[in-house]
Amino acid sequence: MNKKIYSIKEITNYIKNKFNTDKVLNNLWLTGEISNFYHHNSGHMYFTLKDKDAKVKTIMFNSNNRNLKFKLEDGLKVIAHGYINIYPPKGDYQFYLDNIEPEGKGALFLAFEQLKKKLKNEGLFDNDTKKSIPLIPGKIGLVTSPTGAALRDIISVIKRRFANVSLLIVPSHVQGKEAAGEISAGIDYLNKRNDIDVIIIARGGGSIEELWPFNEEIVAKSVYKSRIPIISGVGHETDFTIADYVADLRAPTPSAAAEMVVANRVELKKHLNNLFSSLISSIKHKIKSDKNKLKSLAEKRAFKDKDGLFANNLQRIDDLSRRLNWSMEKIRNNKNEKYQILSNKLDSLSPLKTFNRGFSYTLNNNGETVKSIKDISPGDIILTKLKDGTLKSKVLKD
Amino acid sequence: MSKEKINFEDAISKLEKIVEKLEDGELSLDDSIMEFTEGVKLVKYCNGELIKAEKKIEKVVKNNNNEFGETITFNEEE
Repeated sequence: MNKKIYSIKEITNYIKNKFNTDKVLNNLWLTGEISNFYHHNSGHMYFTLKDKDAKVKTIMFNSNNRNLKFKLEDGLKVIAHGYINIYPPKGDYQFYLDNIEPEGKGALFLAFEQLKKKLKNEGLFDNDTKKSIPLIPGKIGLVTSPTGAALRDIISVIKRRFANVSLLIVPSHVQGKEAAGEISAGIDYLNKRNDIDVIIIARGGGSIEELWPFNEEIVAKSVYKSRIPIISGVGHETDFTIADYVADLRAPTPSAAAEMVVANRVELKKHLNNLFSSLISSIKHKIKSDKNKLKSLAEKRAFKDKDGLFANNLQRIDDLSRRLNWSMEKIRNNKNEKYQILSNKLDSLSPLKTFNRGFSYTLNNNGETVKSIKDISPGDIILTKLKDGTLKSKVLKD
Repeated sequence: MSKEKINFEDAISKLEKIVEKLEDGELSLDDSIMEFTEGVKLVKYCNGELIKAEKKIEKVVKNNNNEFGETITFNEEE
């Protein structure tokens, strides 16, 4: 009998050939749980796929795992595609994995959750490291696509609001594999300039795949280390990206991001206007109440002087007061004029200049301002300061 | 206003405090006038800051080495 004796190599190749020609083993999906996960320096991943009754050695080559969005880890339940074959040096059969999905939820969803957890632990979302957005930024750095809807929306908001802001666009892809690196480089570039007050990173709506660059770690890191405050305006209101969590302020949409920067200016103009009005009415009130005190003081017989000095002064004060009111009316009627003009007018109304219109004040002999009738007694010498000199008077007896 | 460099945010909050003080009415006429004068300066400053910015839309272009280079006016018709 002619015995056929095989070498190990020969029989292994024979078996390998069986595997190679088997329809099922060459193209199959497996479901199982990852264990003994090991990511080798070479980039290849080694682990075991198992269920409660069996296990299979698994390898995922560098070339297949390079673009994996989420992280493989022990305990993760997956659905995996590949083929099973022999590894002759070890005499093992193993699963050569080329495509893997987390079971139940999408790969991107899982990747998002994993990165979110990691960056949160690293402190990138901490509120106390977030910078405040300047109230009136002069120049906005905008990292976005030069042809995208986001840019159009932002420009139209700025034009509609007549905002006095400049925009520096840093063109970048906002989807595809180049995008994350470009967005990150754009942010870094703006940080090297010294004329940017706030950065907006923006993109119009899209699928989770299209928004993905804003979920990449490289973008998150650039946003985090930016010394310039960053507003993220990515996708629609319901889209949350990693960049949103790291940014100093999240805007629900690109337009909203522009509004946040520009609306401030409109609100602040109103606020300044209100402060300005309060400033004027409070000083008017002060002058009026002091005038009334003076009036009642003058009505005392002690001050009914023959020369009519006080009466004249009172008349001047009335005149001054009328002119102040008249000027204020004029200012109010000219609301459409610019603030600059208002401010100049106000300045001309400053009580510092009221000396020119006949206002005076009175000192006692020690040079102290006389604020009350109690400060002086009959017989005292008082000094009345006028625009062009000092009037010296003696207080008559009551 | 103090000679130190003041920013818009600080100026507004200073102005708010001045208005508050004046509205309280506790100050003497002299002090009221001093505060008022300071307030007017702050209003002028804030207003200047609000209207001063330029309105330009520009974009950065990359040079041959794929580095960010010069800044040119952005043409919206692009």
